[in-house]
Amino acid sequence: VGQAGWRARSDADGAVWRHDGTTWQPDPSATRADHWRERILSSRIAMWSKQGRSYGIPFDAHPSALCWREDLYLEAGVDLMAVRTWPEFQDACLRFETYWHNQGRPARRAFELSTIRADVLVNLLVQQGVNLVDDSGVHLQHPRVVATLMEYATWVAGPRAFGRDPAGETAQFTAELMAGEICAFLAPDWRIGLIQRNDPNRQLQGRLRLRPLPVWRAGDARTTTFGGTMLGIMATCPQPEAAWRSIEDMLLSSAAFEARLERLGNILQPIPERWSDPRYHQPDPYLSASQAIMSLYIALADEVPARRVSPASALAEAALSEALADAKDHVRRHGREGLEAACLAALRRVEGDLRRRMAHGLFESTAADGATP
Amino acid sequence: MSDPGSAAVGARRQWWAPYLMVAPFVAVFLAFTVYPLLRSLVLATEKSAGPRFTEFVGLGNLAFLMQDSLFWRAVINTVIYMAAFVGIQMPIALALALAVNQQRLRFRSVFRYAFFCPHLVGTVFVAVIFLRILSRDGLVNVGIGEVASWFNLTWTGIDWLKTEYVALGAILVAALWLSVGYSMIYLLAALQTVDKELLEAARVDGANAWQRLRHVTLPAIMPTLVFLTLVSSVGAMQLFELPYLLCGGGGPRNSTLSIVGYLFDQGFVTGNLGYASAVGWALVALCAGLSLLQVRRSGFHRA
Repeated sequence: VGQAGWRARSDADGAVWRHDGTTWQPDPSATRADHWRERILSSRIAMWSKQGRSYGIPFDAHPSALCWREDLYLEAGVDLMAVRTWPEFQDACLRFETYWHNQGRPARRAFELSTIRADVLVNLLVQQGVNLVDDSGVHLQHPRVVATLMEYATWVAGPRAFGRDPAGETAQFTAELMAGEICAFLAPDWRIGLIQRNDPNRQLQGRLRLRPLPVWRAGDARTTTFGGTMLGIMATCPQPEAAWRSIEDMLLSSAAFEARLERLGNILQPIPERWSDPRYHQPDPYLSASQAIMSLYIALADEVPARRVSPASALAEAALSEALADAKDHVRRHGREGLEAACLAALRRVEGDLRRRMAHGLFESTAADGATP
Repeated sequence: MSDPGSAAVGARRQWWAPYLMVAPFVAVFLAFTVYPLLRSLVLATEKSAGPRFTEFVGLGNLAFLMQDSLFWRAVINTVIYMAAFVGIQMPIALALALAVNQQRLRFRSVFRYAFFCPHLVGTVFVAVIFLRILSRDGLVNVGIGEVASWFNLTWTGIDWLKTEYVALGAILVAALWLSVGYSMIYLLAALQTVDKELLEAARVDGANAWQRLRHVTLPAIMPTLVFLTLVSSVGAMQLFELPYLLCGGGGPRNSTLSIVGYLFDQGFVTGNLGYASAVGWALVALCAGLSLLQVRRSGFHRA
């Protein structure tokens, strides 16, 4: 499955070869897994890893960008390209909604948000490198969680609230985007493709634009990530070597790369050495000024933060949703006054409940050695 | 003339025939009903991470369930929903059935079909409609805003499905719209079996419409009413699709979290099938208790 130009390759029998600049040399110390670990984007392997062990080969890189209806924002006199931080983004969205409200379009909302669930909030935390649960424990009371929860609560409640939830999944959301009811959203690579598929008449052609995400503070990644697929080998698999070969053939080989580029070109593959392929850098007329969609995602891909996934992830997100409800109530009643203390109290409460649930789900046989099933 | 001795021998030889005939049903029943039930009972005593990795915890799941605030929140939500659903649905269905049972009503068949057809289109279709109607920019808010403007008032609208204290009510409205016609059809059929001579005799004796309804019609359709109450209650206790489709599950501050929704979260989001199974058996116990209570209160078990 190896090919010239790569630093290393693995044979069908699992032997790893390295290229020293002149010839290929066998590397008996390396396994097939080591070989791919070097070549696949590490943050995507981290998503499917726990306590140093990887359980799956990632299918995708899934960087996220900010996508918006450039035509409507420009008409409102709001330039989202000039926005650097999320607080500036909030100001821009409020200016956008005020303009359209004055134009008799109060239903025109600046941004897609989750007002009940914490999924967008979790994405904003992942952008800052914070996972609610990871190998080192639960981080619901992390200072960045508190600070982000405070800001986000003012996005969805009180006088500086903006945006709204979409009325449904992709088809419904695309309809809202076309109608100009929701005008900006977090856009991982897979989502742009879905929107195009739900817009067969290309009504949005030339109206959307992409850019890196605003940041909370200097040093934050300009992207986040959500969604993801992996291929794994079951512990009970009778022929793991054959399974490995299948994964290489179907997912990692040059033939698989070509096939996936043809059929799923909007999903960035997690192998950086392939990102220089010119087909990834074609201008796309679907976007404003024929932006090269994948070029932007490739520019962000190296910054994709590691998103940890475990059975407790969903519990932690539900816990954060509870805290968000408390924070929203506080903003409605008292504004920002005392908001930090209220957020901390809410997070402390839900973290206690989360820890109890995690303890109940922990297996006696694995709790002792720290491993997970 | 046949020999009675050989007939008896034939009968003895074919003693297994009835067993053979019921065997397919018994096999399917054992495989797809009895075994899953027993397996889920065993599963309720285990914690699990997927189907293959389990660990025996005895009554541990039940003990955790008893002090699980989310489970009790789901129970309270479900019981409130069930009480409101049955309490509102039955009178409306009865009123509609009485109305469309009137001989002098024109286009009776059209009305019967109109009231019944929401049940035909199914939950998902109803959910899609109500998602639009109840959204912040939906028909309900637009309508209220319009009425408010007649009185020089301003209605900014609320997101019915995303506001804590109204989301369950919004789901209730959608559920009623979906199911009232179904109960109406049953009651209509029951009304048509009420003895007309008895009704006529009551009329001759001077009973007014309310008295005829209370003392003749309702006792006559009581078995159907009890049956419908029971079926509606158990159906309401199994609430899942509408909250899932309209509010994404638990909704604002878990105000639309139902027992089955919680079971789904535990089994298929968190992956703890054992705990989900314990939640399922708790639901069975609740439904059984409720049904017993209703049948006893109605006195129907003595009939």
